[in-house]
Amino acid sequence: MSEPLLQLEHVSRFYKTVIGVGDLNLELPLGAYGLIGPNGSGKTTFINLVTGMLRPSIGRVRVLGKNPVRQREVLSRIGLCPASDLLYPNISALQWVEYMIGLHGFSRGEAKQRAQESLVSLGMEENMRRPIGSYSLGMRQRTKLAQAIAHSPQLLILDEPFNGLDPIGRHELSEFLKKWIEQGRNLILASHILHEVEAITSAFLLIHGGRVLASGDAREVRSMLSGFPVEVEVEGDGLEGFAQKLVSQTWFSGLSFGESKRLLKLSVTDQTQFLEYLAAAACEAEVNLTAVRSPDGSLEGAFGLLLRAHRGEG
Amino acid sequence: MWHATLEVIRFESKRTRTAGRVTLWLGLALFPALLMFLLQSQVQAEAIPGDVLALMSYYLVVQVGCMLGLLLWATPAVGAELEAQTWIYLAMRPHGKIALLLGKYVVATLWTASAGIVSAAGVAACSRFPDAPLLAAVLAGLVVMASVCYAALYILIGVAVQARATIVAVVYTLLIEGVLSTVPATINKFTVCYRLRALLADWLDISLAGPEAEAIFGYEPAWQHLVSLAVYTSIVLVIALWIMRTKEFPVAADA
Repeated sequence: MSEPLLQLEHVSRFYKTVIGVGDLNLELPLGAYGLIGPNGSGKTTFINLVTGMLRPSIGRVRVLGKNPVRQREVLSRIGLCPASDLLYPNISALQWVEYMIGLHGFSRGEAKQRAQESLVSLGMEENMRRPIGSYSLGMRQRTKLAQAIAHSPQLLILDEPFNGLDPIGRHELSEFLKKWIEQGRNLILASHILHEVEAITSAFLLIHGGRVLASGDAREVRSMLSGFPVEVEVEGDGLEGFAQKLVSQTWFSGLSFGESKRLLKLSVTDQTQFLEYLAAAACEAEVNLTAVRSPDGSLEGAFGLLLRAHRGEG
Repeated sequence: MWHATLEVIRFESKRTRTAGRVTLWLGLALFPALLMFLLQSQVQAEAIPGDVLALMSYYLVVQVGCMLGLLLWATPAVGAELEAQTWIYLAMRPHGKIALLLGKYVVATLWTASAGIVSAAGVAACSRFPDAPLLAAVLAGLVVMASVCYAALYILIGVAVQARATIVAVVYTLLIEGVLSTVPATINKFTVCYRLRALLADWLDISLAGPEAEAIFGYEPAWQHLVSLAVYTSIVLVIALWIMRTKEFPVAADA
């Protein structure tokens, strides 16, 4: 049986009196995961713990079965593309990536070959001999990614890789990461751009305030939310009578009208039953619907709900 | 680990070949000789006694030239990587941190020692010292030892203190290597400067008078000074390596 990708047992990390991450308990099998949370949620601290840059204040971290602080040889199986910018202005991408690969113990010839291959695979063939100081942000991102993949790691960790990329760059990076996953390799992709993560991987860790709110694939995350109320907006005529009938329904938890009586804002705990009920009411001409708006079913909607539940607003 | 250290040495050596760093090297190599030339051109031949010339040459080449070069090269070994945000890439390599320290130590030592040896030859040539080749050889030997010892010391300061490491190193140099080393008491034996000065006096046969002069210039045999410097450097490097291995250096916080 293969070792898990990550094992975190009661892991907390404090910065003096501030909690970076708190009581993380996770065991993730090999695979690709999106680490999603707003800025300042603890994603980078999570990555720093996983890569051994930080020691946990409490608890135990294992990556590919090893302690990344003490058993540092595991780092040769990990590639990290951090969020911070690359500031080596006078060195070319090829020289720098070759240096980075050489530090892994590859011979000069092999390091050069791997550096070239990884840069070419990321579309840097024409620019890899120019100084990094002359690069666009997108080129620097690709250079950072090249050093992370050139030693063929088992696990690739990317921290906010889409930052500063133009739409073409984002698309190219997404395609690259999809191929990476298709090859059966492992990935942890930290980002606050939900739809881009959702397009790459179907398994998520939702992190906020240093705590993992939920983990699993999109369907599992949504099933966790089944008990939480969802906001739905209904627009049309005849909504007052419809609203009175809703009060007796078990899946209904609150309502309010908008500025006019043509906009009804509802809070429901079971969207499916609500939609069936609404459809029946529309068929019987009790209401004349012009629009129904609800969370789009994307991860963003689920994440919003989780945050509300976490804050005790559910 | 040794392969990674060689990679760091190779990479950092390439970075010494920029115009700015070559200019700095030339300045350190030639400026002491220029000063000595200007001084000697203002005075009559043999106006300055040989012992004084030797001490002046020593302070110019070793205590000023070498230490300035090492302050610029060795002290920011870690701080420069943290500032350039390149630290995390090095730290993500299994032996990256240790290789970085050892590699930068070697490059700082070689860069400074090479400038110092050229400087020693130039100063000796311009000094009108009675035995200029001997002075050049002694100064060159002291430059090598000073580079090896002070590079380790400044690397340690740079690893232990990131914020304002260069200022801490300058203050340490002035107080400990500058003032304390000239105090005629047992405590000055714990400074590198005392050992180097004692070797200079021993190898150039500088005659000293009085117990205070002996306490400042040393009376132990040369081998004791050499062993002391080797032990000092080893201890300082081991402490620096230990800190490097165990310390958590600041990395990017959550954006």
